[in-house]
Amino acid sequence: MSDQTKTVLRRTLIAFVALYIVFLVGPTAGFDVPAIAKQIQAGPIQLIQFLIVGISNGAILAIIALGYTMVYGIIELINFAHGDLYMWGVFSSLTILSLTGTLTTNNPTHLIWGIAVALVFAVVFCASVNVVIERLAYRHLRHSGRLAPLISAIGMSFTLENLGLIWAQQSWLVPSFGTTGGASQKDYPDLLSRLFQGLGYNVNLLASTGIGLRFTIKDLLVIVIAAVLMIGLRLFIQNTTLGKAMRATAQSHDAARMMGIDIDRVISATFLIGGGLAGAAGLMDGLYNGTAWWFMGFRVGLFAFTAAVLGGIGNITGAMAGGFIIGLMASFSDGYLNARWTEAWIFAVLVLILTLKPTGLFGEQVGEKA
Amino acid sequence: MLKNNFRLGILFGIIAGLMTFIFGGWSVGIIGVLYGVGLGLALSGRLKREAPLNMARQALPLAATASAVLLVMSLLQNYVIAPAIGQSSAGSDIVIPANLAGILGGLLFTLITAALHGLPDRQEQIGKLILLAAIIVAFPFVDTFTGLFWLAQVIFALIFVILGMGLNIVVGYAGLLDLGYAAFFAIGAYTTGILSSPLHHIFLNFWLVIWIAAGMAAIFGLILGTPTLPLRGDYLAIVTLGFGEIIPVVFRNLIDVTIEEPFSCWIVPGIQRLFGGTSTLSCIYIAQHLNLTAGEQGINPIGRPSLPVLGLFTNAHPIPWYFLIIAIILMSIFLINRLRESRLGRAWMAIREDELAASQMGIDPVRTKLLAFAMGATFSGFAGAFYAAYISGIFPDVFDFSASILILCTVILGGIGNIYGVIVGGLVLINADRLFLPALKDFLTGLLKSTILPALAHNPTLQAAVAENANPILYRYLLFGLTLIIMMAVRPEGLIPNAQRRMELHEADEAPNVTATASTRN
Amino acid sequence: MSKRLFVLVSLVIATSMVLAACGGGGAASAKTLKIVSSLPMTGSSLTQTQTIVNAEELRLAQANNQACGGKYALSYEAWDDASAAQGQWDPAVETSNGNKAAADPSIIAYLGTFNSGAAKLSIPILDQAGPLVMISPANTYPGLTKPGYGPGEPDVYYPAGIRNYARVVTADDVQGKVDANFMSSQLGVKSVYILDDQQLYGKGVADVFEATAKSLGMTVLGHDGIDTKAADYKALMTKISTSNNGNPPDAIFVGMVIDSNATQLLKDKVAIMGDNTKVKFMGPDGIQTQAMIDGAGASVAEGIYASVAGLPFDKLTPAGQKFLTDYQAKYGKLTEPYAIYGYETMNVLLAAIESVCASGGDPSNRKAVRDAVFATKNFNGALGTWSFDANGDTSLTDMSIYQAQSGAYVAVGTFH
Repeated sequence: MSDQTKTVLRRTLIAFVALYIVFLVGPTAGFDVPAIAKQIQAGPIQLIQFLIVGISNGAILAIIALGYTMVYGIIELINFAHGDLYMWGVFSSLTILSLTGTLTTNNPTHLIWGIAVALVFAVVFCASVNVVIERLAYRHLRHSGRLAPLISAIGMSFTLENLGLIWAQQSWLVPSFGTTGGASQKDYPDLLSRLFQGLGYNVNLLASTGIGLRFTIKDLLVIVIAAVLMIGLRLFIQNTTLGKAMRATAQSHDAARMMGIDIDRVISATFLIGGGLAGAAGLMDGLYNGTAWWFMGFRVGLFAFTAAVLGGIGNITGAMAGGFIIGLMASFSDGYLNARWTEAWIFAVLVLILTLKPTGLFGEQVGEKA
Repeated sequence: MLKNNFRLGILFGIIAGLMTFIFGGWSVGIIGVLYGVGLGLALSGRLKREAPLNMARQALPLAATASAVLLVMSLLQNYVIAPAIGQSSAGSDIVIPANLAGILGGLLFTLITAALHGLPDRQEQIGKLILLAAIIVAFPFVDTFTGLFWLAQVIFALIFVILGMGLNIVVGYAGLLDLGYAAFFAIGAYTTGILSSPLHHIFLNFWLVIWIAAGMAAIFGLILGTPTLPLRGDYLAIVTLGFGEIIPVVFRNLIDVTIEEPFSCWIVPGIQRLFGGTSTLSCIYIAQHLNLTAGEQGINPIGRPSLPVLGLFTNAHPIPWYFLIIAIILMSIFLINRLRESRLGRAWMAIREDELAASQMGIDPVRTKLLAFAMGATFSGFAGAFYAAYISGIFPDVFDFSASILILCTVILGGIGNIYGVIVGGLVLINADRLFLPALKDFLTGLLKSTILPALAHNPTLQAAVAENANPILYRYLLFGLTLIIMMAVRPEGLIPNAQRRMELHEADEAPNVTATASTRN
Repeated sequence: MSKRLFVLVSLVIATSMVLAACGGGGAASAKTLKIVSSLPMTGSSLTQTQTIVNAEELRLAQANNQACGGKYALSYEAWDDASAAQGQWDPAVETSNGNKAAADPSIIAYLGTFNSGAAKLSIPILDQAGPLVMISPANTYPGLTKPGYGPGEPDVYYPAGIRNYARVVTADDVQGKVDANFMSSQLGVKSVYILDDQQLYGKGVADVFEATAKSLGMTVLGHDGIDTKAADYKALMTKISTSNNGNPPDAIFVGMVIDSNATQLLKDKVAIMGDNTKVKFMGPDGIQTQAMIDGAGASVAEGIYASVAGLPFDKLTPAGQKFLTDYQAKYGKLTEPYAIYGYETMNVLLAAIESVCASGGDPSNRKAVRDAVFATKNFNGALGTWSFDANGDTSLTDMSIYQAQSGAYVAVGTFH
């Protein structure tokens, strides 16, 4: 037997044993093949529905993951506060929507303008906050190893969460927050459906097909915006001077500085863009899922960060792909396996992928630090 | 020189006084002793080295100043601050002995610590150890006598000290960033819970279970370490984070365990059915609908240790628990110091500095890394077993991501790679969360309710707004977060950094990316 | 110089001590009885626990912080059993609260806990300390007082062999049954899908509901635990929408509290399966809070059902009405369901202290207070007239069902 055959045989054996173990213990975690087969048989169309749900959720995750991966690529910091910044994006856009009277209107023009203003405000607000955070909590730690800024970021995450809690009880600012305190979840009204109904469209684009699938205007928007942002960001990084400076800084701070690049400015710009993306994601998530909650950034941030690593740190395509994979995993696990095991399944797949491909899915394209 | 030292004395007095502002009552006694030791240590580096008695004489005016400042502030607390925050002033039966203990303790311990500096190095070290031991032994009795009830928080902080020491092996020595360390804590605790509770009617002795728990944690360290071997740096961090997220979910959900042999249960019958036959095999199973971990219900009560003279450890008497965990910590310090100086310990540090070079020198990176995970996990197994028995109940929420992060914070805050730094970090951070911040919260709440709000009575709108938004209860996360940010801003290298790392950090510009994680990614 | 300084410092110390001795002279003459509560005052629970503390302070203020005609002064401390790092109740903090209460002889009652899991830890500690009586305003897990739920329950919680734990709130076994009966008989539901948040409380109600629903002949299409931190539940709702042979079920029952992401769950349910008239949505008291309707939006929440132990606010006895007006005067309008239970814990405790005094006993004796609390019979409180049984459970089994109508919960009936 040649070495190659041996390797193939060994790998087949390992794969077989692994599969057997999954089948053996899987039913406990909802991986019950006969039950899944029965469910697919009963409603094959559901499969496509889960796909749609997964991709839409993945798109929001992907936009947040872009912010993670940019910061990560440039100063190698797991910016734990990024998820909470996205939460601030949700609250800041909701606040502007309330102040402009958009929450209570049915007038399509008012809705469009209100949402546009809220988008601009959320992006500018989160971008500025992110720059300030970098200035206050990370800059002085740039030469203190990688763990000190990590702790600082965790501290910043707690701080932002707490301020979000306070924000959520300012009912003089947003009357719909009510009087039940800042800890409870707040309503983010479904303005997009209202807008399109007002314009006379059916919210579900596939309603006329009659096959029972839901693909709403919101799904479409979320996916399109995510795709546009990704392509735009790629072009920006590839083609502009600032983008090139970012790539150079990501490779080596010292070499970039010697080339006359102002490192501080480049890093600030990275945080600016990352924060802006978090603001945009906040508005999108608010309109798509409909909830504002002070604690919502934690889980989404964790998943977005996971997506960034899964795709390959610092890689924009990878972050998008990671976001979609996690969105799909969550959707299929909720649908076919067991909702209470979803989180475990997502991380199990993460571990599996990274074990097979230790630098993430698109990792090899990343310039490595010396 | 002397002037600077006086300033130091006044500074210590003020800091100690501010602490009494927050805690009040008997606390001035303990705070006095602690500041005394601190002042003594701070002074001994600044004073001229002379004979012990002369050292003490040199330190006396300073110590007296600090004590006086403390006394004035403590009395201020009792007669001015306490009413202002809506508490009643303590009676003279507490004030006089507490303040006497504070002043005299402060004075005495400043002098002793300063005097020790006058001894030759070796004797100074022994003297300081004896002093430390005396404080450690005396603390629980003083705490019980004064009714401060700090002991429970301190015991809890000591659990995190053990966890921190274990994580320090993985992160500090071997340089593998682990964001899911609480998983091993959970495994230790759940092993103890399952083997020593009414859940499965198994009641093994604690002294046996603690070793089984450590062993189980070590085995899982190996199992979970294996997939991470090819990973570097932050990819490793995210996989460990993944395990840290999976383990609590698993423990929460193992309430309906079904393990059935797939061939006999559905593969073969399924194929037979596909071809129109009927199933002839009977399903072979190991477990069906077994409630292994009780999920959110939690496992409780859990068996507790007992000793011949002391009898069964109970909640009513925390002192045996305190000495038990001190014993575990001493054992851990001994073992970890031995490990660190062993061949394996040096191999860890070689891997941390440069994995490629280390493997060229004949160090087996696979074995070295796996042993780091296993050894690190072992100590969390001890901590988990102690925790389960001490609380006498375990719930899956305790072991989630925030616990991993908290342990990591203690390690980094204390000074990564330095076992004594980790001990200090654990005590400072956990006591900040459990002792200091709640007391600060109560202090501020009292101030708000008894002084600020009545003062605003002329403006009801403002009063209502302040009452709603300035309530300190709402700012717990913020206070904790700011604590972390400020501590990192002030001492990014940790409270007691390891000497080597401090040197590395201070030549920062030449080596900006020397970190605990693998510094070479190639 | 240092000599002069030394003299000065000594003078300061001596004067201070003299001052301290003088200042300490006016100690209070009445003996102080201390009452503590242990509730999670952090994060998501704070909305509810703060109203409980307010209500307890209110009751104490009504008694002028004293008992037995001024013979005893009462002091109250609201302890927190959460930690910032944990973000919710923390077993270590609850244990240490229990130990602290056990060790402080001036404490005569422990009002708590909020979470049933926390009660499991502190009951046995306090049971061995006197026993120190514990009255909970919010624990609904039946196994704390009744056999048949977990291994060894409830005796494992009472190592001293004497009950020390009572609760003024009705346990879940009643609530789950009433909910299932209501769905079957009043709403005509034939098939139901059950979700829970995997917590002790939520899963407990859901399990009882499931068993009752099956015995009533309803089809239980499934019972899943949800991930309470998920961003959305659209996939899960899609699955449910075809679980009834390709059709949605008649109703969804959620055993959960609002903090377990209940509003998001409701939003996605409405997005996938339409409003709450065709597919009904019902939950226990954990979602009977204004925050549920505010958080989901009035139009989305329209028509959901929630059950709460006790009578609706407008059906309360005069004592209950008085509580509502007093509370509103001091803290603003009350929307949370547990505040009145907090009030009642303090209420029944103060009555017990008075009865100890009246019979010539010593209310600083924990055992005497415990006995008086357990002897509570036909107590005329804010919740109505009720008694404690030998297990420490309340005799009240009334459950009110509410429906969300135009942005507020409206009572639609009382059952038991």
